[in-house]
Amino acid sequence: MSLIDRIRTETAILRYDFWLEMRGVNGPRRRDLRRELRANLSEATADIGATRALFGIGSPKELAYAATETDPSRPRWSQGSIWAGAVFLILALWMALTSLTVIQTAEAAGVASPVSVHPFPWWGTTFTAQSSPGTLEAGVTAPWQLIVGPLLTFLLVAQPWRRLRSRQPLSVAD
Amino acid sequence: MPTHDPQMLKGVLGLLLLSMLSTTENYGYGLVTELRAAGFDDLAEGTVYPALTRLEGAGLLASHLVRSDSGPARKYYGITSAGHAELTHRRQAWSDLVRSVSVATTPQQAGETA
Repeated sequence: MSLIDRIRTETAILRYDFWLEMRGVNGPRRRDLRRELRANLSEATADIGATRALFGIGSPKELAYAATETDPSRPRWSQGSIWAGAVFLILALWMALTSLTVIQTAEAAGVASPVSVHPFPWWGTTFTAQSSPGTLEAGVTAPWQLIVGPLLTFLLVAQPWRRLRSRQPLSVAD
Repeated sequence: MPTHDPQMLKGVLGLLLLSMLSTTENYGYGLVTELRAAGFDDLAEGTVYPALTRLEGAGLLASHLVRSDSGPARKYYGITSAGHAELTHRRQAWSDLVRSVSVATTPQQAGETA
């Protein structure tokens, strides 16, 4: 197998592994499935060439889904982490923008004393700002949304309770 | 080259794989080449490999690794006793289906319809 063919094959296997990971497939089983695909692709490449061999397996994502559709249900830790991270970034950005708005409003109003507000929808969180000539102070207290939001997202996407479901093998229809 | 309806082929793929593995062990790509030689030229590897994984997950096939001189170790599949029972059941279901389809699609004689 040429270097180019090897790179193409390994890329397809990496993508397959990524989608298996997204499906919540555990490490040893992923290694087993990767090894089997590598062996089959190697045989097919020697027989019909890498292009046709890779075309034959189709999309690595669909292959991963088809291979695991009757697997026992498992928590999707990776998907949960990715979505929790995304929610954290969105909330942090939103909170920063809200804080900036509070500062600008305090500045525009020319309020010299400290301002403390609880803007919608940041229930329980206090945004403070103080603007005086030569000084600008801002702060956020109890930003619990930055913890609860990502945590809830992680739990809802990862679904740890999947671990409690039956591990009986399912029947196959094909 | 014969062409097959992908949905129909998917419906009988388990039967085909169990049948082929009932006589001798084989690995993924080996089964693909056997099926193609049997006339299923349009069968994609991406259909066969997951089907093998699912049959193994259901306990109908067992597997083991065998070293290969030409590359990585091959994963050989063999049928289990549960697989044999399932194969008998699927063969019977297929025979019944073929018989029923044949009856339903054969034009009836004019005398029989009168």
